[in-house]
Amino acid sequence: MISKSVKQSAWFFVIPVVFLVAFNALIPLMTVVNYAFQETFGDNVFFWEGLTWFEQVLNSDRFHDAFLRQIMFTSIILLIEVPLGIAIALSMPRKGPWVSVCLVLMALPLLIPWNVVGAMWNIFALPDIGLLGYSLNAIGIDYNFTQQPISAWITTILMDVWHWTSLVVLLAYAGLTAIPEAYYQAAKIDGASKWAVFKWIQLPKMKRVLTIAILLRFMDSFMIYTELIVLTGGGPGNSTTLLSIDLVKLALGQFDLGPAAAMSLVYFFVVLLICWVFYTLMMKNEQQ
Amino acid sequence: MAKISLQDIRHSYLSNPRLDVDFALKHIDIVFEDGGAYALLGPSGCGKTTLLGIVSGLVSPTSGRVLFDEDDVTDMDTIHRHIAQVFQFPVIYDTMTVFDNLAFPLRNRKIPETDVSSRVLEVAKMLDLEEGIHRRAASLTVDGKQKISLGRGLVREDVNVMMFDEPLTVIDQNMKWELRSKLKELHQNVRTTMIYVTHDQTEALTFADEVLAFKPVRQLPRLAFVLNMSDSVSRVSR
Repeated sequence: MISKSVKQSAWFFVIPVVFLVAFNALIPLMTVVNYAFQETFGDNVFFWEGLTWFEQVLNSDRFHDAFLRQIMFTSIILLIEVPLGIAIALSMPRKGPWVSVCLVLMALPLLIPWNVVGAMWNIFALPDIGLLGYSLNAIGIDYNFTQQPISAWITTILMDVWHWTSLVVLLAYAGLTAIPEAYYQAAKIDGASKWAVFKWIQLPKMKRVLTIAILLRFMDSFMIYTELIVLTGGGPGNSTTLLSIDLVKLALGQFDLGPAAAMSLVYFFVVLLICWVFYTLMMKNEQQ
Repeated sequence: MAKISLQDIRHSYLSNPRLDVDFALKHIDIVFEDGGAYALLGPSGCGKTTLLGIVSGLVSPTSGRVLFDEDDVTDMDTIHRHIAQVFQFPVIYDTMTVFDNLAFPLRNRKIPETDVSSRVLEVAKMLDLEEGIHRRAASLTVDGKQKISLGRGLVREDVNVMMFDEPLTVIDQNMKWELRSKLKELHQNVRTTMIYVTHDQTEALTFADEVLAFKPVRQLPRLAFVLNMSDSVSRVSR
């Protein structure tokens, strides 16, 4: 046995990271925790409330509704964006001058500031002056996203698909181009159909990047705020009030800091939990 | 099974080749007799892999003809040529079991499942893959994986020629010897034509009945040579 001398000075090098994480994550989070368990009437005076706010939030219909709407929204956009993104990535050229053209076109929606995306779609979909809204009404479809919940949902989903499918495309494309040519040659020799090549080569080889793509899309869509507040503001009524919009209404609209803080923590743990379960399941398969 | 003839094959990866140096292969005339074991020996970049590609149909030659027996297959696609190829790195279908990997080429050809099963088990036995045949192929070691790539060629009964493109590159030194003898033994049993590409003289000489040695044609000075077949390929018969 060779015994290593332990150098405590190594801790010194970790200090910058500890400070960074403390100031950008832990300390702000602790402030929220602080509000979640206490009541305040300003002037830095706090009263201990225990789990009251958590019980209130978890038992409120308002939270349940927002949560259900959120789950529905995230499920729908994942079900559209992931298959669509893969399909587009598969149909993109692998070499030649069109590669860069396609990549730039794909990256374009990702470069637009989020509130601009919301504003664009708002104007685009307005029933009286917007190209989409006006055209739909002109061909006899009754469409008004400012008054009909269904129209508002369709517009919101279209906007998210337009904005974010590119991310899935780019990640899937990166996964596809990393597959060595020999796999395609072997598949040809084995007489594999196009579908078999997709199922047994392309999809398994894209698994890692797709895991990342689904995780990113899940988290971002679960926390969608900017585009949505500009497009519908959560309306008509509460029909597109997803979790983050509801949270802002609660915290800054009603200034109910206690319940809002409790809701933030629940919200945070839900995102964390789903991500962890999903990632663990995907990676567990990997090791078999 | 078939005799394979390459007639005056030239190939260039450029779209508009003019000079001799533009060609990766020049004036190749070779006949691979039915049931023979051949090795193509030569340094990297001399066109060995290109030549395999031309036989398998993955590369279509700039000029010249490829014959299987008397049939001109120059414009035929890979699947109809009934060839098998083992690549430098093991190509396996990660998410399938070993069994499904071996059955894949047969199932794609719509062979009845009972025949598939007996054929796969037979080949698995030949290659010592029986143990853990229902495990995921991804869990095998690299030589096991390379055996699977080899097995996918062996299961098919319609194979005209099996080609090996430096198949032992990623295999451990001690496993190399074992796999090489396995190949030799397989050739004696199945009697399929085999073409083995390598830059290792020992591999070439232990495997093959006939070694075709390639000169590094692309490294020759431009002006000095007009290459014809007898220049670029010399035969060493044992």
